[in-house]
Amino acid sequence: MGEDLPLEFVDVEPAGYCDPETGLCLTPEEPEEIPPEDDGTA
Amino acid sequence: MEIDVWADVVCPWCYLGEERLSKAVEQSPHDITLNIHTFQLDPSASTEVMPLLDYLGPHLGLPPARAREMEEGMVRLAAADGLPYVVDRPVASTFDMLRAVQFGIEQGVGWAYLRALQAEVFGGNPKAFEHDTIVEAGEKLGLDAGELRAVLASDRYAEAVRTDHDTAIRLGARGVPFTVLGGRLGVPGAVSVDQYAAAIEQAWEKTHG
Repeated sequence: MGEDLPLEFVDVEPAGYCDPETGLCLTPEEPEEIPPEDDGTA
Repeated sequence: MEIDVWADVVCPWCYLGEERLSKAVEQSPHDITLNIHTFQLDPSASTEVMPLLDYLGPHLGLPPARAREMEEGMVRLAAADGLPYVVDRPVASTFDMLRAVQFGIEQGVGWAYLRALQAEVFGGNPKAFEHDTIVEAGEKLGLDAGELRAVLASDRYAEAVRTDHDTAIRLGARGVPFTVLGGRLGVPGAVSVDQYAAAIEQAWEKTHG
């Protein structure tokens, strides 16, 4: 492949990936836990 | 157009991403060749086979129940792509598998071989990491069993595994699977079939437009 050409990267959030540095696999599309609502009493 | 993908056998998102990319390529009107490159996600992983959740919990710093919950989420995502995905599967170093895949690449069956080994791992075969399994999977693709056994018994292709890893990092891989289309367009991580299809069109325009 043309490794000498600079790469352009797609502007798309991956559905998931494994981090090449840590090896950890992440799934951004997993629904995040919803934090408790602020009831204004703090 | 050439599409180059860096992946590991035990990488869940590589398993799903390759399936999605394959579907996008099948749907594409363009003449495309898929090339696999190896990327060992955890070079420090033990050669001793252990249950995935025993590896994953400490690795992610999560209690086993949370690690299982995350994996069960992947089961649902894999099922949506038509792929089997067993949570209680074995895990170990993939170095020998990836050396065998490098031999497969040299023989022209690298893509199919990596996917066949992923099918063994994610299908939950408790013997997925055994040399006999690696050899049998290669034999089914026409690789010579004696040659494969000789590769596995030596350190052949170790340098190729390390070189592939270093190339991905040099190209700016921020996520694995790491896909490079037409040598011009990078896709870090796995995306949807439609997004792979759009990336193929974008890369085709760049290289043939």
